[in-house]
Formats: sequence, structure tokens, C-alpha cells
Amino acid sequence: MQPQHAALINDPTFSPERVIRAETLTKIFRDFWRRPKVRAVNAIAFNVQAGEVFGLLGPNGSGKTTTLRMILGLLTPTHGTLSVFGRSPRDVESKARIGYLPEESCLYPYLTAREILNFYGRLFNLRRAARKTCIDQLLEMTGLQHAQHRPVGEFSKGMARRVGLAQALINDPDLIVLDEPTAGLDPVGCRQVKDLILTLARRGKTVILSSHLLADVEHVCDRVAIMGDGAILVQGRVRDLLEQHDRCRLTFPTLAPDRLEAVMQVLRRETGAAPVVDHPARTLEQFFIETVGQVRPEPTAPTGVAPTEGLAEFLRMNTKQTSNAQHPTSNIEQDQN
Amino acid sequence: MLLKILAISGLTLRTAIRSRVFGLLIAMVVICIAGLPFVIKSDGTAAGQTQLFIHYAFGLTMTLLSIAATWSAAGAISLEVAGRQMHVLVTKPVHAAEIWLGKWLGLMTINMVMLGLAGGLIYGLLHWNTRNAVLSAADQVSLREEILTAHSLIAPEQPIPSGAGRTLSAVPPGGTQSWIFRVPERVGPGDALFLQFQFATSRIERQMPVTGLWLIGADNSPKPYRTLGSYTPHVGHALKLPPAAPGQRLTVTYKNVETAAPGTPGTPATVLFAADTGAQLLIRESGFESNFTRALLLVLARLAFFTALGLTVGALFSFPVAVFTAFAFLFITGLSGWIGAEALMAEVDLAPAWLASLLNAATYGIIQLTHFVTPPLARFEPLNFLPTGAFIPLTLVGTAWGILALGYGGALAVLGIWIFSRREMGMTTV
Repeated sequence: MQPQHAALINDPTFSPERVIRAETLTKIFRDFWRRPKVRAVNAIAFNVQAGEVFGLLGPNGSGKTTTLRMILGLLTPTHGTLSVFGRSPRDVESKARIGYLPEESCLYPYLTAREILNFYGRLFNLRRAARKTCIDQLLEMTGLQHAQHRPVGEFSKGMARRVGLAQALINDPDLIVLDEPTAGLDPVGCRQVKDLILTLARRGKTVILSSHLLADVEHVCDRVAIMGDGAILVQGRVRDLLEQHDRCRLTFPTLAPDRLEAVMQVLRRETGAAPVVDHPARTLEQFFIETVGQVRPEPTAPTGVAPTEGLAEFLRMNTKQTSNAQHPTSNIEQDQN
Repeated sequence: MLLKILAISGLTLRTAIRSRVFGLLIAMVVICIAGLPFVIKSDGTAAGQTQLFIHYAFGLTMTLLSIAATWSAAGAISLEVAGRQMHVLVTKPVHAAEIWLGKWLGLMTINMVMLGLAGGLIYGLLHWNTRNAVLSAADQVSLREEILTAHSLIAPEQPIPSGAGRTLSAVPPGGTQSWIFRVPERVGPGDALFLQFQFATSRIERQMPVTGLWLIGADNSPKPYRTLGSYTPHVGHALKLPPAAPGQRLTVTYKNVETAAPGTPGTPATVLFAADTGAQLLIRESGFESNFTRALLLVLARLAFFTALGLTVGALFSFPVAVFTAFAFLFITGLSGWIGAEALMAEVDLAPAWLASLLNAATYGIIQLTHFVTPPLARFEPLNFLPTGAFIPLTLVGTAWGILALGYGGALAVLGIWIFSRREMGMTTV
């Protein structure tokens, strides 16, 4: 516990603009007789800064989802302190600044995509016109315009996931909590979600996500915490954790064998070790997207997904990333009661 | 707050309609009510048939809607917790009270629509079954005056003396018994007046009719209205009286004209009237339609309570446990009156005496507690009024809403919201 805390204080990204602050956070699940059954999260400490993409990594049962649920106020910590925007996670007012995509989409199966988004929009007191604009943009962004009037109970898992993502963004949140955001999506959808996360981050949104797909996290996260058995095993900047500072890699166009051998001799002489030469490879994801992109017609089928590359326009740029930043009131209806 | 409550109630309503629960319930209510006239058997009279139809149709509607209201309310929160829709909902800026009230409002809208539909169907069938082609004009008038109306009971100004523990008044053969009534000022000039009476006899054969003469007239009237009839004991009878002016005093006398008929096994019977309810005046208070509406409002007050009960147990437990708990509570509510009466009469026969006293006290305490926590549903039972044409005062409707919906329902709401706000939605449910 103590070393983690020390690492946290020394984190170069540390600043007073902490969106999430967790100290000795512990969750113990108890049985019917209140006897401790499982220590799902064990005295973890971490901070998430405004505008940061923070990843919680770990195998199944490592405590990622429990941690996210505590951040969302769905579970109460057994010990420790946890604040979101400087308030209790159960504080209703701070929830106006949060968007949440659960691990399973958890939608109302008898409602259409538009009705679901409209319902959540009403909970944020969005005016009718603003709500319509947001919904149109989100449906376009997630490629669900053609399926917006179908009950989501008929949707594939990937389509339902897109609706879930859209509802998480309906309030233009400052903090977006994504639990396994790419689960159920095809590689193209995964890529779009990752691009979306990066775009949101560029716009100053804070994103916290959990995943056990390391490639997803590696591409989008600024910092990660790797969890195991309820504890944070390591946390820090992705680059700092992955880079091998005692080794270098040069990338250049392929040389003739004699020229390459000359370069190798220089490297051997300078480093005293045998350099490794290979050809850089694309990732399988890149290869898949390129291949599918070449053969796949424009997906405009009226019942399918037709995603666009853009981000919903209403998702504003966060210019003021303070913990007490207010939601723009221009689109908010005055509560009548 | 109101906008969010309305959003949640709209969602609840939409989900219920789309999930076909609503349609199924409508079909069930329509089939049951529309099929009733084909299965009920009455005494063959128009009045008997109408009374039975109102009784069963209203009772069936109440039962079906009460079960449906409790069931759907128990699932409204617990099923969303199990399906994890609630996980998303509670991460939005919504208070527990808004969720609870939104659900209650949505379910109550369904209850109102269902009750309105069932009420309209019952009313329509009543008209259909009593139309000109089915009933004679005389039967229709009789029905309108006796059953399809709303009348209240007026106690006599000078009831039978009931001192010294006397609860019955005996009228031996040849004897008489008189009551004096004042016709209330609110009685209209053309309104029909009825005398409602019920009696027992000294005979062993409980249902053997007796012959009696009724004499009704204004004070000191030299020629009172007379009617001789044969009446069955232990059954309520209504005798139409001649028109009387508002404020007029009526003297009603019963003369026992029983004689021992030669060759008959029975002996002349002594007629026994209850001191308080032996004979009462029936006056028209309002039309059947407004009484029917008030009866529906009484049912709606019950449904408001059942919905609150279902939501609160649904906020605490998983769906099956919530349904079981809610129905167990309703079962205890139904039995609480009987249990209370039995327990008060029962004495524990144990030695030593202090143990018996302790057990008696404990039993009494448990019964009192049961009485306290269970709502007095029987007090607001519309079946006690509507089939007999008895008037349902608006004050009773107001009291029912005050006690059932606001009192018990409000207490359940506070409890349910408190439970819901403290519940960890991310936990597995039990």
C-alpha cells in the first residue's frame, strides 16, 4: 500500500485537478450473516486527472469492475476514501457530469434506440430541441440512424453496445466510465471506439476504462493500473511502463545486404552486442481493417450499422477542466419542482 | 424533479404496454367480466341477477387488478436491478425518491386505465342486461329504486329500548313493535322511500317464512298505509313506502299476525328484531353512476396501496422473493381481523399461571402489532355497498385515500425510498 501511495505522489501527472481520488479503497463482499466472503478490492490508491484516459487492467476477477462500480456509486466501499469531482460517488449532482457504459449494455429491450436516448436525455433535463439534436448526432455517430426505430431487444450485441455508448454520452459528460468498451464489437467497431476515446480525450474529457484486452488499453490510455487479486500491482504512464530505456530501435528503408552488414558492424562495435534486424509488421487489427475496408461496400443497409468517422458535434471541447466546472445551462430545462 | 418523475413514469408505462403485459391483462379482465353473466346463477329475479353480477364482476375486477398491481410493482424495480437497467439509471442524476415515485406513477396510470376499462365494461354490461328487451318496465323501475341507486340508512329516532344488555326485541304472536323515523330534509319530493328490515324467529326451522302486517303513516294518522306479507327470516327485506314529505315523522309498526294454522306442524312464531338494525329507513342519496364512480375510487385507493407495497418489497428483494413477501403480507392483512378476534377470545391454559399470562400478553401484542401494520382494507370494501345499492359517502372515499394511499402507501414510500437509496445496486440480488 505504502509504495503505491508514494508512487502516486511522485506521479508527474499529479495536479490538484483530480477527478477521481481513491485512498486505501477496499471492498469486502459479505455473506448473508455478514461474514466476510470475498475481498474483491484490497486497499488500492489511485488518482485520475482531468483530461486523462486511465485504464484499469487485469484478469477476470481482479477487481476492475468492482472498482468502477464503487466510482459510480453502485457499490459502497467497505474501507477507505473515494471521491468523484470532490464529492461522494453517491452524490446525485455530480452524476450529471458522468457517463457510464456498463460491461453489458443493460438496455430496455422493448424501447427503440431513439426512445432510450430520449429517456436518458430527459433525466438530464435536456430541452426537447437540444435533446433531438443530441440524439440525431449520437445516432449518426454510432451508425444507428437506420435502426433507430427498432426495439433494441432485436439488436445484435454490437449494435446494443453502440446504443449503450450513445447513452453514456447523451449528457456531454466530463467523466466517461467505460467497462469493457469493446466487448461484443467487431474489429472495425473496436477501432471506432478506440478512436472515439482518443477524440474525447483530445476534447478534454476524462475517461476511465477497464479491459482485459491489453491492445485496446495500450493504444488509448495515458496511464494504467494493473490489478490482480484485488490489488493494484503497478500503475503509471503506459509509455513509462512499456519502454525499454536500455534498448533502441531504428526504422529505415530496406538496405542492400552489404550496406546493412556495414551498419551492423558499426552497431556491434558501438554496443558490444549483436543487433537484431527484422521487418516491422502491422498489427492484425490494422491488417483486418485495411482488408475489410477494401472489400466491404458502404454499409448502408437499412437495418444495419452505418457508422461515420466523426464525433457528435454537441460533445463540446472542455476548455475549463476544473473540478467544479458547470454543465452548460443553455440546453438544460429549469426543473419545475 | 417533476420532469424526471414523469420521464420514469412514461418509461414504466411504455415498457408495460410493449411487453404485452398490459394487453394480456386487458384480455383477461374483458373475458372474465364478459363471461360472468353466463356462469352465475341467481334466484331468478332481475334484482338477484343484477346484485350477483355487480358483486362478482366487481369482486373479480378487484382481485385481478390487485394481483396484477402487486405483481407488476414487485417486478418494476427488482427486475430492472436483475436486468441491470437500474445500474445505468442510478448513475444518472436521479434521486431514489424520483425513481420510486416515477415507477409508482407509471404503474398507477396503468391501474387507472385498467380500472376505467373494467368499470366501463361492468357498467355497459349492466345496461345491456337490464335493457328494455330483457326486463319489463316494472322490473326496471324496481331495479333503479332498489339496487341501481345509492341509498343510505336512517336509524329510527326512537329505537327499541336496548338497556340492560338487551339486544333483541321480541314480538310475540299478536304483539306489535313500533319505530319512529324522521324523513330527512334532503329527500326529494319524488324520491322513493324504503323500509329495510331483517329479523329472526323463535322457530327451529330458521328459514320458514312468517306472516306480518306493517302499518306506516305520519304521526297520529288515522289511516296508516297497511301491507301484509310473508317474509323469510335472516334475510334483508326492502319495503317500498308511500311518498313522504321532507321533515315528516313516520311511525312504523310491525304486527305479528302469526297464528297456528290447523294441521300445520309449526307453532306461531315470535319475531325477533335486532335493537339497532332491525328496521331502518332507506333514502336515496345519489344516482348509481356517481356511487359506481366512488366505488371505483375506493378500489383505486387499494391499488395505490398495493402498488406501493410491491415497489417497496421490490426495492429490497429480488423478484420472486418480493412477490412472495408482498402476497404473504396481503394474506396476513386479509386474516388479521379474524386472527385478532380469535386471539382475543382464546385463553392459554397453562400452569403456572404467570406463563399463561405471559403467553396471552405476547399473543395479544403480536395481534395488536399485526393490526397496526396491516391496513384496514375491510373498512373500505366497495362490495359492502355497491351490490345492495348502499350509498358510498365521499368522506369514506377521502378516508380510504387518506389511510390506504397516503398513510400506509406514504409510509411504504418512505421505507422503499430509504431502502432503495441505501441499497448497493452492484451487488448480486437475493
